[in-house]
Amino acid sequence: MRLLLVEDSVALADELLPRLRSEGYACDWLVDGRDALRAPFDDNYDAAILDLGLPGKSGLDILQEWRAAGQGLPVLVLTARNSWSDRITGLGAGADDYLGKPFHPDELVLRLRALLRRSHGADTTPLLTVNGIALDETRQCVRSISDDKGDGISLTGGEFSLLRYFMLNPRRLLSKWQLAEHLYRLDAERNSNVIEVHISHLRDKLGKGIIETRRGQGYIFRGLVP
Amino acid sequence: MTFKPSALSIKQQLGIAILLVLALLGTGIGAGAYVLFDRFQTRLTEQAVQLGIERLLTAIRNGASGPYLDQTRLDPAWNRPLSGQYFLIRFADQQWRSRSLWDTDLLLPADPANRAVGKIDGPGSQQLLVMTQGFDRFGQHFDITVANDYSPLVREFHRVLQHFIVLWVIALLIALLLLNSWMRRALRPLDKTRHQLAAIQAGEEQLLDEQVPEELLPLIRQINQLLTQTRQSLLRSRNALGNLGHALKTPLAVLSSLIERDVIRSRPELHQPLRSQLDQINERVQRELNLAQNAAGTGAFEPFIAARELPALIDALEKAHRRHLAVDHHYHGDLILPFDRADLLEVFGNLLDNAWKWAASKVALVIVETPTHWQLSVEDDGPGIANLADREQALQRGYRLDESVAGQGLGLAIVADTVTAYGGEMHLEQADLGGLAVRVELPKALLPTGD
Repeated sequence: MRLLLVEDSVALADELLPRLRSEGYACDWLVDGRDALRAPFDDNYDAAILDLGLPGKSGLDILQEWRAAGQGLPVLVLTARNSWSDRITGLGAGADDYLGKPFHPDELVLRLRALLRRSHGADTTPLLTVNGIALDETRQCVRSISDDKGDGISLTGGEFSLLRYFMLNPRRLLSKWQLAEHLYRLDAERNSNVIEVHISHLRDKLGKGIIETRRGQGYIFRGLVP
Repeated sequence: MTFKPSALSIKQQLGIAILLVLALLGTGIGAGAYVLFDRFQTRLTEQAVQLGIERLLTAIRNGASGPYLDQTRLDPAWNRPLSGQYFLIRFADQQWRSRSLWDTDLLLPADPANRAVGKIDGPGSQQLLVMTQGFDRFGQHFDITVANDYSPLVREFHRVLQHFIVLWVIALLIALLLLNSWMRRALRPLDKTRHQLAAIQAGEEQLLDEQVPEELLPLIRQINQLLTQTRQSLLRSRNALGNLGHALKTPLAVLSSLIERDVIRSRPELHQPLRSQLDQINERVQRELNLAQNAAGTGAFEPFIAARELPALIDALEKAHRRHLAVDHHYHGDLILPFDRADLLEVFGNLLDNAWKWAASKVALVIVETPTHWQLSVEDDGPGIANLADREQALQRGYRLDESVAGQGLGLAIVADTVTAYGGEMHLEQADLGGLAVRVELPKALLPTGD
């Protein structure tokens, strides 16, 4: 999952970025509102965390311009202005969720997770369950739904974010390029070998049929359903 | 500046001044009239006396046996006893008296100067003006004295004076009544200004009307200047407070995130106090921000259109809680509440937010208008607070219902602050739906205190 964080407080961004990365999100950070305006059109983000009080251009204006231009990127507004009238204004401008400062970091992660699930049409149950596989996003481990005992199989960060992306896009053909775009940051080295390595590890842990390879095209998530 | 409570009102002061002026004027005119009349009647009587003397002089004839008085030339009044017109003619050793003197004597001064005018008491209560004039006729010296009673004129004058005094008093009373009604009319702009000031205090108006009599205009202008200045400084401090509050939130968010790092979380003796202090700061900031943004009494507000705001608010709540509740709306479709939109959204938002946390499936939203108040209530079918004492305690304990649910107490506290700013009241009750009912009463007019 790639996220766009637009926040002018360096200290807050310094806090949020490691936290979001540890949750398996690839996060790009922008400070100026004018830069943020183009960002979702230039890159494929899965969601944006948008501060409203930004230098250059206000977050509310950015949001309105995105929506006017047909940009449907899921947006979580993160702002100091959290009176109910501000919230209604923000949601009315097209925000998908609204979180007031200060906030508990866990709250942000939960909201973000729910936002991403909803934007992919998945249920907001505690576990992300698709095609017989249940993914625990908090503990970053996975198990089969038929096996409801035990702690499940733990995953590395890379495996976790890849599997989550597959599970949020089931039955969709995903190219290596698409996967790299949604899983790695703009400045990260996008090495297709890394994806292949992660996929082979996931197959080792969950069974060979879990991800189907379409040669020259990409991969499709199948899960444990026969 | 000192103010004596016993000081006379402007009306009384003016009344007394006018009364004094009119009384002095009346006395002056009365005294003047008296002096003038006295002079006039003296002159008149003098002329009559002079005339009498001349008439007597022509009546003195020289007969064979010496001078005699030609009776045909005498005024009949001289012959009527005590008629008020008398004469006395002295020559040689004789003296002729008018018959009117009857048996009285004129108490003449011992040696009256020629043509001197004197006033003496006559018979009865008569007051006489006397004059004696000497003439030489037929080789004799005649001293002719004529006395006329002037008391009837004085009596007449006194009667007129009495009438005049009665009329004067009546005129004074009428003047006072007129003055009273004029004063009331003249002071009407002050009354209007007072009402306007009350409206300004209630936030219904911004400035005093400057269409007033010119005597009041400087005062009104001064008050308006003061109002503008006060409003500006209020606005400045509100903005400053708002900016401060918003500026604090991002650092608070940073701290809030920092203390959740494992290195601090693993040390509860650090983590817990830090968390609780941060929560207190946050609560304080939120409440003060809410009050700084409160529009009660500012006079500038956007009214709350229920049919537009409430569905949007409920939408926001469903998004925030990802949960659908059946909301019963009990209010008129065209309802517009005359309170600031943002403030009422804060009230409804926080109350509904609580309802969303606790309700099983239903929420009722009731808005009722009474002659003096607007009653707003939010009810849910959650667990509520069954015990009356607990409900009261919940209200008293800084409106903190359950500290374990984040934001719960803060929401109610913010509602309570907003309600207090509008001079209203908040009550917690058992809802018909089974859960908690929060009832808020907002007075229609923010009455200025002490009126």
